[in-house]
Amino acid sequence: MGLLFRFRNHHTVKKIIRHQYIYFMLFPAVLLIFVFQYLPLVGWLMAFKDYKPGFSLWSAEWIGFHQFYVFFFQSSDYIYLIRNTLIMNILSTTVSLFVSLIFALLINEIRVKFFVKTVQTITFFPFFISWVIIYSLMNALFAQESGLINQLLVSWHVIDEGINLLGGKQYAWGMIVAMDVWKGLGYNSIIFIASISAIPVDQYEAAEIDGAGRFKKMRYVTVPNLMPTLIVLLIINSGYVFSSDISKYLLFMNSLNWETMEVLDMYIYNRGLKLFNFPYATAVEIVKSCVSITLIIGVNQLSKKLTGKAIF
Amino acid sequence: MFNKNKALIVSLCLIVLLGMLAACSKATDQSPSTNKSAETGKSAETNQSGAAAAPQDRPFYSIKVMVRVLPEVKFEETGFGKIIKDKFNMTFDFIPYTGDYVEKLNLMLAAGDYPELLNIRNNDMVQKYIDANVLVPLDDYLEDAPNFAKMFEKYIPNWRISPDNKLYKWEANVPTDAVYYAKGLDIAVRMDALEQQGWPNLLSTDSYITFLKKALEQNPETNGQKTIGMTVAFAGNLMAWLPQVMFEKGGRYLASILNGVIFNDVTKEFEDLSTNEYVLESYQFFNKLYREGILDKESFTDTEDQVQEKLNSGRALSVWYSVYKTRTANPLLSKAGKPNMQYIRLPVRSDKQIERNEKRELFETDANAQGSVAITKEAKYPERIIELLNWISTDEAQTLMQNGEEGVYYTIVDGKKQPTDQYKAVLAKTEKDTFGLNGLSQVFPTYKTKDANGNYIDMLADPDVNDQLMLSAEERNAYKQLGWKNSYQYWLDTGVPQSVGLVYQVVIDPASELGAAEANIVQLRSKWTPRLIQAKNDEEFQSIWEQYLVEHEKLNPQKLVDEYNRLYAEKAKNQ
Amino acid sequence: MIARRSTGDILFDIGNYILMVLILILMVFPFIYIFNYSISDQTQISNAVIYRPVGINFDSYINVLSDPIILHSMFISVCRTVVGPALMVFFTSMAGYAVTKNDVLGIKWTRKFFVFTLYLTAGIIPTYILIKELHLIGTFWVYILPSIISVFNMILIKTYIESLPGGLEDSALIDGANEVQLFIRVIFPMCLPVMAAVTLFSCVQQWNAYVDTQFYNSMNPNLYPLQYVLFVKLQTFTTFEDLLARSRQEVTNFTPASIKMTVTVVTVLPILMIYPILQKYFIKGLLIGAIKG
Repeated sequence: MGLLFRFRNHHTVKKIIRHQYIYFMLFPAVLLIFVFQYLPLVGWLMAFKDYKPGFSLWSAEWIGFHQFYVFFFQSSDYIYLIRNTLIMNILSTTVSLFVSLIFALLINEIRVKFFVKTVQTITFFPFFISWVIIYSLMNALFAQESGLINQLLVSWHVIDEGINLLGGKQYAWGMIVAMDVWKGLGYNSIIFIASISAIPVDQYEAAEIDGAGRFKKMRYVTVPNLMPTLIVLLIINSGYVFSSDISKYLLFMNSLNWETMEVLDMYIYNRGLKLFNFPYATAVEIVKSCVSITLIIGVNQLSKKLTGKAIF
Repeated sequence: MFNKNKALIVSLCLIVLLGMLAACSKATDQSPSTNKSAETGKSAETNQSGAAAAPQDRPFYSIKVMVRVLPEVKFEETGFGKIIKDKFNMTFDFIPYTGDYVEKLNLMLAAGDYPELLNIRNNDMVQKYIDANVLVPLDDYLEDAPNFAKMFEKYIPNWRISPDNKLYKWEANVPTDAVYYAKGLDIAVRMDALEQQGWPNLLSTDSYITFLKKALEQNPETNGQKTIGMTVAFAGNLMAWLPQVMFEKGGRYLASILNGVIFNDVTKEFEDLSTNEYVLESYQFFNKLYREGILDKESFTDTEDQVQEKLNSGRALSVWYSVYKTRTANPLLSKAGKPNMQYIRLPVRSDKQIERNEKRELFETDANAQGSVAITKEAKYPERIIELLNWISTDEAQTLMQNGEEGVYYTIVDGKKQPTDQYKAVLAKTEKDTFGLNGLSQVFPTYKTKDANGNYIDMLADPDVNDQLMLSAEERNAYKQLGWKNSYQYWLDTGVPQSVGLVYQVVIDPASELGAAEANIVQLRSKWTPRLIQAKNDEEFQSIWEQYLVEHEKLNPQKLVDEYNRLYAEKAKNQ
Repeated sequence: MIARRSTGDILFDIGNYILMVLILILMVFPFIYIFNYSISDQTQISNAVIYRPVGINFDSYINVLSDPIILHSMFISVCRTVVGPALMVFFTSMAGYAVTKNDVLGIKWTRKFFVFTLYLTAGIIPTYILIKELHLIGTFWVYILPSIISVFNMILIKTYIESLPGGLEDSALIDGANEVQLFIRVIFPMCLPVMAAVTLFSCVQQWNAYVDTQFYNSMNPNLYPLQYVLFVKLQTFTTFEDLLARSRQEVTNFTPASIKMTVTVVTVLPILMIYPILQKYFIKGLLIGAIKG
């Protein structure tokens, strides 16, 4: 037995030594991630304790699962929140990624370099505009009476009365998804454009020898080469389906469209974060982290089975 | 070859990087060095064992203070700053604060990383700081600050919020005379529309509807754009507030903060806000405005920015509540050659309020928890801050702080302060505030009432002086046409000063079950209000109102009201 | 290369160009709106600013750029945008390469260790206390250190490396090079497109960041980046208490929309310039043959 143990040990040590340079390369990343990401997780204790800023977390009294109870109990009747969150997040992510992929494909087909550069740079622009400004822009375009589009449509007699895009609950999902796609197009397509550059030229040459035309090359060479990136991005984003960008909803949600616009994070923000109820906020963070990690593990496994691609 | 080149490039890049880093680190080094000099100063001071030395002999003391509104000129370069430098060898370094201040206060407390002198937003927060034992109790110093103790004699007991009855804080802008907040946030109306209809005296909701309807007929377009009858910013969370706020225009109720209850000053009890009779009248008013096509349809989705745009261009005939926005719009309209399209603020009252004709309550601030300021244990020389505080609590310093220097900013005519052109230029923002009027008043107490002679210490508080400085000639003329002596007359004649007192100190912990219930009540209100406003006729309005009441009752509002009253009674007993 | 273009090809090209021009219009009009708004006369703002400025004046630019602190803050911003991404690319890509090695002991756990952090948030108080304990408050490093490792970028790099044709490494390993040398000499040069992409992401993130300043360096004006200085100018009073306080105290200096627009123009233009610089790494295709030979 002892011999076996020593042998095993010896084998492991050998394995480690063989890859010493890999460990060397991993070390700074592991250290930094540990310090900046895992160390502060000690703060999760806050959710179980009666913590007050200014006092030590260690000496605070244990209160158990009270905050979790509050969260689940109070928000249990808000099915519409979960519905809105999931629909908007899933649609936004998938549509954004697919549109960006197609955009990357199409821009790759343009041979005038100057034009390519211009289009790429300009499509990047909306990414930098804050939601406050987008709201004012949307108002200039779509406000029920003074919006440009509505005024034009009314003056052309397409419609009799302006469409209340910003206030109509039937438009909420479409509007959010469209804005996300528009805002993220340039940014999201960058990674696809970079991946296209990685496709070896010889694959195209081989396809040409087989008599493939332009579309066939796109379909059988470019698209399959982009799939790993697309899948990885879909997997990563699947962990975020319950998280929303509050700043967007703070502006676009109003008393007319809340039924379809209000999301889970908005609710949590109003009940906990805005009021600096730190233990409650931490409890919500823990729940969300657990859900996200479960989701990501599941999706990752599923993807491994279906496509053979995974992120870990 | 190829690789060597690459190595060269990489190393060059690294050198550039390191250079930049060094430069940046240098930038960071500046603050510690000042710190160090201050520290050596401290040891020097302890050696002197606190002997009162001439100001120049004492170490220079610079205090960092976070402020919401950053003064235009550095404090040490302002007139007031120079006086303080000469007298106390002290100065203040104002740091702008952005983001959520309460969050910042929590973080600083949690990490033990707070500045020497700190504005702590509300009493709960002050209490948290006291509990953590990081504030300097002021009682030991009160003996050395007789002026402070005398000037704020009436208020110091209120500031002792801690159970141990020690004094840890003071409040900025206490007391503030009712005249400061006398002019109500009711409605601002475009002057040319008033002129067209012969300066009608508007007050009732019906008079506004007739007036605005006619004004819309007379001015269907403004600058080629469709004219808007009334603009309001309902977007965001204001739907639970702005369409209800009529209750503060009558007597009885003080303006509350955004929550479930209002305080009735006659019965001295809290009541349910959502079902208040004035609130119902307010809804009916908005419903009529909506049905008559006067209320901007876009108001449901307009934020303050859109409302401001609509006012700047003069497109809106009137604005509800956000009347302060006309202070920005009016000068712009004047500049654009449309001075007759400026706005003036006018009062509005519901029918019941007119019928009862009770006096409106004007805010008289004898408590301002928002302005709580405390000295923390980080302070190097708390005694010097107190010394300054004591000087600030003199009539001389208060006059300086609120008005600037005599002869430069004001002259005394017939015993009353009259502003100079210099002061007017500062107010009009054509000249910088070189005296620092906007600086220390954010941290040190200001005594904003009348002096012994019955004149306001702050010349701006005097209605006539204020009108002359803040209103345009056209606005003043408009009030004259309406038969008002000045823009304050209506409000001062029909209001009574009412101290804020305890009402604002009654707070329900938002994290508690009742706190959550209150949030639900407010949210329900915000969700039902647009339905009420958009009702097509009276019957529909009535039926929606009844449905709403049913939903509202389900949330058990009475329990919340009872809890507020219980807390109020408790506080009242302790006083 | 292409002998003859079929009609289908030509039609596709025409359609493609038209589509791109449409996208261009969709993307550029907000900029035109923002720019027009920023130079328009505030009393004439209407939906017309979408296509033309009304009553030109540059007051808001003078207002935004007249602050003497602007120049220094630009320097800080540039430092962040250079130092941050450089270190990020170096350390993250190294780790990104290392996690592709499936046969390394413990690598699966290491990958999970990294990926999970994408979804873990500790909350602001523990993070703040950590930063304080590390003595990073009031230093430039607080902008850099926490963002040196970006797990998202690491995954992108890993995916990219995995998509590269295999066999290259083996030949190099046989030459006696260790993995570090292999990474620097062979892998990194082949990864330039993805490196350019993550550099771009990181530059954008560093350039846009102001929240870290707000938390950690708000007491040190000499470390304010441009975004923060402008954010101070932009700060609006959004909470209800602010609104009430403002209305009572008649504070009128809240930010007009035109200043917000101006700030957007001022902060976005410099960072947009960086895209064309990095673009050359995207366009050239990978010539495996050349590297192999």
